[in-house]
Amino acid sequence: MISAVVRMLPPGSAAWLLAAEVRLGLRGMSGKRGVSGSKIALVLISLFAIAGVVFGGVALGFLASRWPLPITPLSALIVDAACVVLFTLMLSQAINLAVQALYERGDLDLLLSSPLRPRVVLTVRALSITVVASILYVLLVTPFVITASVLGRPEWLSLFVILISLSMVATALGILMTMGLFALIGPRKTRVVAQVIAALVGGLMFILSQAYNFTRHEDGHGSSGVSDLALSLTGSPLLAPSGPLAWPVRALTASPLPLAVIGGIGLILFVLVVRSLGPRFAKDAAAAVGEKSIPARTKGADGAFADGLTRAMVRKELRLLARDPQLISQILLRIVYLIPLGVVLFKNAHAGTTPILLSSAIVFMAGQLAGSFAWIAISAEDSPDLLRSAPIDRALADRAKLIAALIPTFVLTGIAIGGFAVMAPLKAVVVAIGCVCAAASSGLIQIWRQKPATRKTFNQRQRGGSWLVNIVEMLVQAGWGGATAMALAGLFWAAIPAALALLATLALYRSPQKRWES
Amino acid sequence: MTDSALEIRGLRKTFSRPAVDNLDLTVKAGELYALLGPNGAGKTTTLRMVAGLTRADAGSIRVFGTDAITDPVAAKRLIAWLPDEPMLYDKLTPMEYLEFVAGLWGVDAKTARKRAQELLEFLALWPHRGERCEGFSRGMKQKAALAGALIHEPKLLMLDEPLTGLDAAMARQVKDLLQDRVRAGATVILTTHILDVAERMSDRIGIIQHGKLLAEGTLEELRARSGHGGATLEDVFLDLVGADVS
Repeated sequence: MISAVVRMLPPGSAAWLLAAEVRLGLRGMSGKRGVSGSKIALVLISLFAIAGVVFGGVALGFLASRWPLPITPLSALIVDAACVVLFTLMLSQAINLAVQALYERGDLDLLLSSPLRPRVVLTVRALSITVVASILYVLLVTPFVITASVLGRPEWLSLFVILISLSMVATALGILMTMGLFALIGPRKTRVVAQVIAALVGGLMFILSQAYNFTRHEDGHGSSGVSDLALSLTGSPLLAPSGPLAWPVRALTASPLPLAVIGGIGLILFVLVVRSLGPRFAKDAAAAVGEKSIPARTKGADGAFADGLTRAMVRKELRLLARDPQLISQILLRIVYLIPLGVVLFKNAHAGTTPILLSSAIVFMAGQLAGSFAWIAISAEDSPDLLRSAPIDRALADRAKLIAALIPTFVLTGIAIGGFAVMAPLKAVVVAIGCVCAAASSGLIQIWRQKPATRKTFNQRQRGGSWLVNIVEMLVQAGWGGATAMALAGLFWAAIPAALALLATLALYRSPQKRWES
Repeated sequence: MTDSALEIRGLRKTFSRPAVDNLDLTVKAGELYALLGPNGAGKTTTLRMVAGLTRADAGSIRVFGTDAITDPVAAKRLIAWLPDEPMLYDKLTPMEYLEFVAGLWGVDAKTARKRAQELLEFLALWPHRGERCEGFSRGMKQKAALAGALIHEPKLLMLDEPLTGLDAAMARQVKDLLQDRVRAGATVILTTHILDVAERMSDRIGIIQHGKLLAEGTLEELRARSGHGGATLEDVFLDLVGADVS
């Protein structure tokens, strides 16, 4: 079907190239043939999720069709806030995708060595970024929009225009920023810096949402600086129906001018960036090829060697973890989540349920971090044959890798609970025990259920191995988080989630013989 | 004390078809042995089984008298395996890589540090000791991996296509190093498609096809066997494997 479309389009045109790229993408998604039990289960879960979205969307669409969307300062504020949240998420993704477009070769060398104009190549890459950054949100709102439109509110179709426009702006800014960094700091640093910025932008809304906790008044009425600000804003003329900040909500009601302006901004920015940066994109992509050939020097090359397998293994793993820019950007995202939790925990060490809830989140995060580090160290080993050809006890090697994975985990979680330890030392000890249990469980699961994969898999925000194991690992982390929260609340019942987490961890045990054979 | 570095008897390995089929092979201690064969003949599979990377379906492997199947750890202590794709870590420098490999083979830190310097100097990598391997050319990566294979001074060094992708100067360095190790008493087994290299460097040559040893011996013995007196190894090889070059 898609091949027929490719054949019909004029070769060398942007549409032809786009169809060819879509064909490649679809074939990449189809993966290996064959049906396994886990695939069937995954399909069933996906079907349930889709059914839930469709049912929820239809129900909301039905409700939305009964009443028109009111244009008030409050509705304007809500729509603006939603647009900002979506935009930051799209921008974060667009920056990552723009970096990939420049650095990941795929068929890029073939395209740029062909007589195709670089502008055509950039147009197609940019369009694919727009689609990838918005597709999830478009799919989520589709049942709602279709239902509301069919039942007499066709103005809701403008939601698609707004989402695509936001994605186009995010794409344009993502490409502009990445190529700007490229010009300013060069190809080697751009990849790391852009991914760090993407991580920070992605976590920005979380930090802003934590502003509520930072600014909470001591009177205990739940009022905060943020809610005060929101209340005062609703009185602002900017949010009045005729004000500029009400344009997004007016665009949602298909008011022609706001809709045209919002849609137009996205389109114009997109076209401007693509048309002006096409030739530069080809040059930057060519420069990105040479990025790895620029020698990256490391200090201490003449230092003493580590003695023994464990020390050598820990040193090697820590070096590799520290030199993985994709990993750092993803870990940074988790730190973005951890640090506000730590600050709030420090501020509210003795304030009712807040430390209990936040401590469980930190324990959960410790498990997540350890799982990621351990997965990279154990499953994503770059030279498995070197280890297999060495005269070593594999169990000892795995233990050394686990130690390497736990060191950064404990350093990072230590930062988060450091302040809390000063304010409430005993409670901090409980949280630290929870963190150790969650991290150790995740690490052991990664050892027992290791499955060779490449680091690229992690960099694409996926993780190899069975999805069922990944879910159980997450439940185990939640179990330790829950047990910690209950222990902090002084509940004896904390033993139950702790025991369940322990049992679930042990249930995933596989003998060394079995795991190294697989 | 055995005078065989490697003794393979009745070795079998089947994937979708037999890759190694009842192979018998003996490599004497202190010799440089070239294992030749067309693509898919079973050379790499054989060496991977010796290195403990692929499990044999049947047969026995003894490395300096140690049974590599029942006691793989003891056998691995004596072996170094260098595949055609270097087993490196792109984000490590050659010194860091050698430190890690020395740790795997249990070489003490001081000795390893000294040997690392000697090897990198010999292979002209010392000026690049602080650079990460990701920026290296294929030849430099191959040399770094070779240094890794030699850091624990293996008694048996097995190399799969060690000269692929190397320029003339680098290839010369590698060849010199291998002959140096043989002079120092090590045993070297290499596979190669460059028949000139096998002809000039090796003490004995084994020709393998469809997982079986077709012929084995010095170049003179192989010539005599094929009935091509004065022929090159290429003529002998093509004659033995029955390749149609017309």
